[in-house]
Formats: sequence, structure tokens, C-alpha cells
Amino acid sequence: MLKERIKKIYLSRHVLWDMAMVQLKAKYAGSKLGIWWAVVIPLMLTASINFVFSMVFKIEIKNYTLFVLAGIIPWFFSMNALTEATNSFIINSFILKQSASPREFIPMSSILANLLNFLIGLVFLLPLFIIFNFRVTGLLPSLVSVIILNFIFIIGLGILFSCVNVFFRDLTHFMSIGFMVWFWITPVFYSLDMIPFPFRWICLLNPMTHYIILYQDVLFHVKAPSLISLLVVFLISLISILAGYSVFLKKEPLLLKRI
Amino acid sequence: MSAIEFNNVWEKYRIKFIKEGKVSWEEVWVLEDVSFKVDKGEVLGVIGENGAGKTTLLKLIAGMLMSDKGNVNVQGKVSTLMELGAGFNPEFTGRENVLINARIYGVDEENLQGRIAEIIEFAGLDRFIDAPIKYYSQGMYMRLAFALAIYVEPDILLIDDILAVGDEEAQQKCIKKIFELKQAGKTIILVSHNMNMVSKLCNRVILLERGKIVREDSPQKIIQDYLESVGDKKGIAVLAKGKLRTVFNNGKINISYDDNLLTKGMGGYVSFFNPSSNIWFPSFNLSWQIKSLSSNKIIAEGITSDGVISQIWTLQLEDIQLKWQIEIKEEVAKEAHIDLFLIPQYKEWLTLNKNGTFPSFINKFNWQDLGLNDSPEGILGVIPDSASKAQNFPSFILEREDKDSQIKLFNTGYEQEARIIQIYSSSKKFISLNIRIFPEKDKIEDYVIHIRNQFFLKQQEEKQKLLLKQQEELAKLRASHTIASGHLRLYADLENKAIRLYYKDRELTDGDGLYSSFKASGDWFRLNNAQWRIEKISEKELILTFSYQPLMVSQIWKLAFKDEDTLRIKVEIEVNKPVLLTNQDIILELKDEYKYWLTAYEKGDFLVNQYINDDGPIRLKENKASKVILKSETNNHSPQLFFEVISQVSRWVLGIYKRKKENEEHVCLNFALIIPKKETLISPGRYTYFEGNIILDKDIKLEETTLAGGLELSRGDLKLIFDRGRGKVFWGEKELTLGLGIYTSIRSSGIWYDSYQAIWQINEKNDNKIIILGDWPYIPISQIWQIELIDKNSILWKIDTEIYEELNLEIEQANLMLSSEYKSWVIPDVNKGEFLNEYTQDYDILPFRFWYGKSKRIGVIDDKLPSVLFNCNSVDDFFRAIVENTDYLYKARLLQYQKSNVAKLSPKKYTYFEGVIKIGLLKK
Repeated sequence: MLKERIKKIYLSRHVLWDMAMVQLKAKYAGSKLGIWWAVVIPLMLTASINFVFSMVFKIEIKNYTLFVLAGIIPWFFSMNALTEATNSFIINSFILKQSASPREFIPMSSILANLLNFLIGLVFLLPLFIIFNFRVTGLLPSLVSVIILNFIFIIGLGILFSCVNVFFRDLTHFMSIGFMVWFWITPVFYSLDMIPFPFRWICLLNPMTHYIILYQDVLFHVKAPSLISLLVVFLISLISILAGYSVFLKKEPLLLKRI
Repeated sequence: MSAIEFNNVWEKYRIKFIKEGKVSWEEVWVLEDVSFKVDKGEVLGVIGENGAGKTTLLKLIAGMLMSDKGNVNVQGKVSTLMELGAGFNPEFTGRENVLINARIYGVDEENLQGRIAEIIEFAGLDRFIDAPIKYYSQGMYMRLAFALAIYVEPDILLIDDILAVGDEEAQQKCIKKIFELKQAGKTIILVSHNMNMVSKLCNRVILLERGKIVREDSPQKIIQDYLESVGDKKGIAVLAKGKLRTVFNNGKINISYDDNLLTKGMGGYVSFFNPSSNIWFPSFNLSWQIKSLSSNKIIAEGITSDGVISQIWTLQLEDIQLKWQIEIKEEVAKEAHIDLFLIPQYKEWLTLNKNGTFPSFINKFNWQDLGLNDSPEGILGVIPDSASKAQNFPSFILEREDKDSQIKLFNTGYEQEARIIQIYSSSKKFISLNIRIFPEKDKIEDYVIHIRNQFFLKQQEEKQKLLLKQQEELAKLRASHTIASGHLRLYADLENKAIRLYYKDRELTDGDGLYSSFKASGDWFRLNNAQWRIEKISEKELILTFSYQPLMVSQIWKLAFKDEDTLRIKVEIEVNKPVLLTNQDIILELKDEYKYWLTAYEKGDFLVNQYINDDGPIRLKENKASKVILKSETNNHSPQLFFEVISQVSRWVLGIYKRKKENEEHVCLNFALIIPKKETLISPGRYTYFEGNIILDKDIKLEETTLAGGLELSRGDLKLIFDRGRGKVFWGEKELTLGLGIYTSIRSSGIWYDSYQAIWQINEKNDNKIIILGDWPYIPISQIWQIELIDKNSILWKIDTEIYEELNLEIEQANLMLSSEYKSWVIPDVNKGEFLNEYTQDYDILPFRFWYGKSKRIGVIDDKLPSVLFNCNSVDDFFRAIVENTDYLYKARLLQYQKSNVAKLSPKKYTYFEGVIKIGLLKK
């Protein structure tokens, strides 16, 4: 049965792509800047964080702007993708009724759309890192694998959240505060070294930390990710996708009745 | 291979109940153990009440739901016509939305590009396809969504209930498209409450009841069951007997025979017209209650929203006939009609006097009137086409109880495909109808022929009865207008406004019969201008009253048979306001069978050679006759007729003439009253107009009593008799004069008036002298004559004239008409000559004028008779003397003095003439 499912997903993969493109287009439909928002938003966030922590709190990290930027772009992608995926079944309930394609495409397409958005932003911002340290170019394969692992993690989590959200609508509201907390416990605008040890566990228990550190390693510190950290991230992604999918498959019939 | 397969499918819902803050969940099985298969290309209808699980079933097919138990197999691409357009993004253009959605449906791009033009065309969007959808109208939006759902080329199309696609036209377009898809062999699942559409579209129907499939069959059979299954509710009842079955459903009826529905759509219902709100109110808008239900009878009441009973229906099933009675209680209802929608399989119709076929459907929605506007005896039959007959669709006959109301036939549009029988009843509160089923066609024709024969028989009987009744009435009427005595009968023919006289049951009169004619205030009035009133006094007496409305004059005719042979006529005239009466006539028009006439003075025949305006007058020498007799050659049919005046005897002038009328000739007798001009103004009052007798078949002596009986002067051999405006001169016993003798004549405005026409009275009389006064009719003149025998040979004749109103008076004459025995004329000392014995026929006197000129002495001489000399003593120089022959009527010699005037004469008195007639004094 699972095999059939995968086959179906594979056969209708173009539908997933179309749906993602539609959402991407819909995101900027009618806006003037359009796709440039993918660049502008991380830059502005970076600027504001830079102002607060560099000017006000005097954090002593060299090239702090680039450091924040390296973490905030993937964070921004992850959070946006999750938020949209969580609501996707409810917002796109019509697609459930119209489409013959696999229903998990609905959260997946939201995440894929955000990934595309993220990649576009990255394409524009990557030259900054390259100018800063040309050796980044050599680490691009590592970057790609990190991005794929990150994407898989988000998909698993997104499907889970979207499913749960149908039964517990409170989730959406919880997430607005949840993401705030999550942001603070993720080392985006600070480095892991800056946290005293007993509390560092809090950060390390946060799966996002591991992905962000990998991004920072590749883009800012310009060092190849260690095999161990990659393995950890791979495991997290695997657990995420299995958990998400199993819950979805189990709840699918019920889910349809609830929407 | 099945396109859809349901194997023991169960589906449940958890429903959340929130009551006073407590939340509880309840599980409901929406579908229970549902199994069915749909083959490829099949059209399946799913019907059932709301909540029966129809939509859930569709969702399971669409994959919007997954079954809880059992499995659903769907082979092929599914497109749904549910929640149309839900997937559209308002920010995208129509084209973008189509492309995006089509991809979601799983249509590949190549295929789509080709179809997009079709979609635009179908949706009627034109260049709007490239505008964002948020600018679309509702209709455009829905059409686009529909077009998309249709054009993605689904293998399976799911349709949920009525298509709410904007306006009706768009909806019809979509329905048409669905039919095309059916033709194209798509598998279609239709969920609908519209039984018409279900029966039209589907091959097979599933009836769902509370999540279970109750029946699965052909639409014709299952729809009836469904309508009945809905019957648990109020206002629904079923009657069935044998194969005939009727379902009453809230102000509508459906009829089926052998499980075939004969009615369609709305079935049969009643509408009444409410003039105050100007709307037709259909019976299915009322709420209905079954008042009584037995095995063969339903009584139902339709109640308005105010709770008032509006209609009562009684449906009764007897053998193979349905009796449908409708009583409309509504006070405001003005007109009512029944509409009965029939399946299109009915192809022929017939009434008692016509038959025809229903044409094919030509309009889209509009009804087509088939032009049937009368149906004798309120009977109409319909017959299905032969193919449908084989399928056990029976013929049936509709019989109206109130036979005078109208039945009309219609075709609906081809979208609806139904025949409509409309039974129209104006202002009737009660409609009663029989629907009689004939399973075989021949039987229906036999029945119609039977009814037709009865009908025509009845019609003929009624016609005869009516005729008889009319005749009776006429006879009665005639009797009341008839009097009779002996062989004589008189009938006042009110219809033709004539009084008719019969002898031995044969009419003597002709044309206008006996009538009066008078001239009042310048116009002629006859009986046929008047209003008649007839009063029968006895078997022998009739009083007729004729009123001449504008004149305020009426005539009262008393007609009575005095003896077996005498009709007494007494006519009075009643005048209510002063009126100028100048002529007063009584006319009797008779059949042209009388050949001879007689008066006391003369007699003649009816050989007339000159007609003036269709009248051929007989010239009478003595027309002041009061009695006349007509004779025919055989006395058989036309007995001798005697007609006399007995009132104002001396004043009537007799006219006898033939009258041509429409290729026929009549014989006419006419008595005309001389009314002196002075007496023409009649003041209100009642006067005798005429009194006389008609006596038939009896010998009568004609004797006239003349007024002049005593007016005789004599001196020696000379004798003078004055009689009605003329003087006769005798020498001894020999009359020297002829015809009019001594008379005057006046021409006024081109017309001649003789003294003979005037009414005379004696002013003074002694042995040798009379003074008489004559009043002229028609003209305002009177003359006073003084006649005196001044010696044994001489007569003095002096005339004074009084003109009392202005008038034209062109010629004045004083004449002496003498016997034609005189052979020579003489103007003493001037001229003399012989008379010729020729007389003109045509009033042209000139060839027989022997002398004229200024002379005061003219005379005649003869060997045997004493000479006559006519001297003029007037001083007036304008007198001219004339000697001539009269025309052929009198055949006499005429000595005449005349005077011409040019100017109009104003009222005055003057001496008209003075002369002396000397007898026997002239020597040869």
C-alpha cells in the first residue's frame, strides 16, 4: 500500500510542482516587488537584528551582519513553510475536493513553494558570502545536502502539523507564540558558544539548531560540515518524515470528513 | 468493465454536539453496506431525500472521502460539478485559473491548449479570459468553472443536484452539454431532486433511503416509487387500482399505468387567477392536508399561509378511470385552469370533431400553442406513438363535466419535452374531470365515435326543439297580432312593419300592405318609421299604436271586422306638441291581380304606359272620389275590393296607380287629404286622421254625395252648378261645359294648382248669386268667387284673391272648359277659326293653341249649340286671351285669360279677375 502511494506520488509529481508554482505565484500576485521580496525580507530582518544586537547589546562577533544572514535565511524559509503547511488543508480544502492527486501534496506544495522562494533569495544573497570568502564556492555541494535535509525535515513536520491542525484548530494560534520562542532558542543571532553550558542543552534539543549551525558553518565559517553533525541532521529528518507521514496516513479518512 | 464499483461500503460521520458548554460526539452511519456497479458509459441517477447519503456517495467516488468499511473502486479521471469554481484564485486571470486548475485535475498541457478556446467559447467570456477572475460576474464565474469541469475530459462526471450556473440560459447550455457528454459515452452520476431531469438523463436510478440502497431500476419505474416513498410526509397520498395509480403530492398529481409514468414534471395542478394581485396562483404553492383517504378516494385540502382553506380536491379511482374534482373556495379567484403535463410519448390527440398530432418541439423554453380552441362535450383524447404503446403506455380520454369550458393544447420547449393539456374555466368555482384510460388504441376511437354520435344526435334534437319552439312562439305571436272574420284575416306584421290582409288565407295585400304616410314639418313619415305596439282587443278587433318618436306624434289604428266582409279602419292621430301637417295619406298596396277600377264617375283599367319614379298613375277626371272598387278577372283569389273614406268625405282625393317594386308590380289605392294651407298647423290634441272601410266580395253601389248638391243657380234656360271649385254651365238640359268648366289655375314655384283642388265653402247664396270661399292646399292663397246670373244669358264671374304669406305667383289664370262639340272659335272683330279634334298626350299644349293675344273677348260658336262668349272685364292690361284644346284626358275646348307676374307677391288682397260669360249672343 505504501508502495502504491509512493508510485502515485511519483506519477503525479508534476502536479506537486504545478501546485507549488501556483502558490509561489499567488504569493506575489498583485504585488509590485514580486519575487524581490525573497531578498528584501531577509535583508531587512538582518538589518534590524544588526541594529539591536550590534549597536545596542554590543555582541562581539566579527562580521555580525553576515553571521545573522547565514542563519536567518534558512530560518525564515523553515518557519514560513511550516506556518503555511499547517494551514494548508484548511485554506486549500477546495483542492481536496477537486484533485485526484495525493492529498499530502497540499502541505508539500506549500513547503516546496517556500523552498523555491528561499532558493531565489539565496541566489541573490550568495554573492555576499562569496565576496566575503571566496572559498564558500567549494562548499556548495555541502550546502545543497544541508538544504535537502532541511527540506525533508520541514516536510515531515509540515505534514504532521497540517494534519493535527485539522483536528485541533488551536494549533495555528499556538504556533504564532511557539515560533517566537523557537526563534529565541535557535542560535540565529547568537552563536552556540555564547550560551552557558547547562542551558546549551536546551538549544541542542531544538532540532532546528542543528540545521542552522550547519548553514552557519558552511556560509559564515566556511568549513565543511562534520560527518557526525550531518548524520544527526539526517536522523532528525528521517524521524520527522516518518512520523509526519504515518500520522497522515492513519488520519487521512477522518481528515477528509473534518474538512 | 465497471467504471465505479462499491463493495459493501460503510461511511460514518462523527457529529459534534455542543449543549450548554458540554461537548458530545455522536457517530452517524451515512452509508450502510452500499454496493453497486456502474458500467462505463452508463448514466446513473441517485435519488433520495435530503440526508439519504447521496452527496456522500458522490464524494466517495470523487475521492473527497474515504470509506470507513468496504472499498470503492473508481477507474478513470473524475470531474465533479460540485462546488463549482471553488479552486479559482480571484487574483489570477481566467486563463491562468483554467491552466492551473486543469493541471490540478491532471490534464496535460498539450491537450489543454487545444481545449482552452473551447472553454472560452462555451463560457462566453471572449477577452475577459485574460482579466483577473475577481472582475467576473457571477454568471461568467460559474460558466467558466462549469466549462473547466466539463472540458478537462473526465471519464466520470459527477453532478450534484441542480446546476446553479447563473442565469437560466447558461443553465440550459450546461444541461445541453451534459447531454452531449452522455452521448459521448461518459460515465455520469447524477444526484438530483429534479425527477424530470433524472428520467430524461439516466439509464438506471438508485433510490437511497437513510444510507441504504432501497431500489435500483429504470427511471420510469423507480421515480414513481420514490414519489410514493416521500409520501410519509403530510400532503401525499397514493391511490392504486389494477395497473392505474395516482399519486397526490401537495397540490400536484402524477398518474402512472403499469409502472409507467404518464405525467411529466409538475404532473397535473390547478392555477387560479387572483385579479387583485394580478397573479396566477398554482395549487402546489398551498400547504396540503389529506382529509380522508380510502382505498379509492382521496380528499385533500389546500390551505393558504393564512390558514384559510383555498381548494378542496377529490380524487377517485374507479376501474380504469380517475375522477378529479376541484372546488375553489377562494373568493378572489376569478378564473382557473388545470395544467396537465404529459410525457412526450403522446403523439396524437382527438376531439369529437378534430384530431391531430403533436408536432415536434420547436421552441427552447416557450410553450407552443397547438391552436385547439374548441372541444365539443369537453372531450379530449391522447394517444401515444406506436413504439410507446408497445411499452404499455395507454391512451386516455379527458372528459369535462362542465362541457362549455375550453381545452387547449401546448408543447413545452424542447428542454422540457412535455405535452400540456390546459383546461380552462372562467369564473368557475368547481372543476370536474374524468381521466379514462384506454389500454388499446382502437377502443378509444370506438369510444369517441360513440360519444360523437350521441353528441350529434343530441345536438340535432336540441336544434329541432329550438326550431319548434321558435315556430310555436311565432305562431303565438302571430295569433296575438291577427284578427279574422269569415274569409277575412288581418295580420299586423311587426317583423316587417306592415299590415296585411288575407282572403281565404291568401294574402291580398302586397309590398307594404295597408299603411299611412304623412308629411309633418317637411318630412314624410310612414308606418315603418314608427314604433309599433299591438293590442288585441278581441278576435275581431286590434288596436295598433304607432309612435313617431322625434315628432311626439302617434297614430292609433283601430282595425275591426264589422261583418264577415267589412274591415273598419279608424285612424286617429295624437299630437303632443304643435306640428305642421301638410299631407295625410292612406295607402293600400295590393297584388297585381286587379285589372279594373271603378269610381262613381268613371272606370278604367290598369294599362299604364308612363311611370314617374316607379309609380304609374291613372289619371282621373274626377279624383275627388271617396269610394273605389277594384275588380280582378277571376273573383277566386282576388275578390272584388271596395275601399271608401267616410270621414271628411269631400276632402279626400283618390289616387290609383301601379307601383314597381323589385321586379314586381303592385296595385295601389291612395286616399290623400286636402289640407288647406291655413289648417296645417296642428296644436296638441287627438284628431281623426282617417276613417274608412274595406269591403270584400260584396256588391256595392257607387254613389257619391256631392257637396254641390244644392249649389244651383238658374235663370230661364241658363243654369249653373257649382261643384268643388268648378262651375258647370247648362243651357236647358244640355251642359255646355266639360271637365272642370269654370275654374281658376295658379302656378306657384313651377307647380300648377287648380281651384278644383281647393276646399270650398259657401259664404252667401240667393236665387241668382253665390259667394263662395276656397282655401288652397299647399300654398297660402284663398279665393272668393262671386257668381251671378245677371240676366237670362249672362254669368258674372268675379274673383278676389287673398295672399296671406309671401309667395311666388308666376301665372294666374281664369278658364272656361267647354264641350268639344263646339267646332269654331271666334275673336270678335279680330279673328276666327275651326277647332281640331286632336288632343295632346304629353301635356304639350302648344300645337293645339289656336289663338292667343291681347283681347278681351273670346268665344266659340256652333251650329247646334248656343254660342259662348267669354269677356274679360278686368282693367288689368296684362291679361292675355288664349284659345286651345285641352289634353286627351278631358278632350275639351279651353278659353282662357292669363296674367304673368315677375316679382314675389307679399300678403295682400286684390281682385284677381272679373269677367262675364254670355251664352247664345254671338252670331255666326
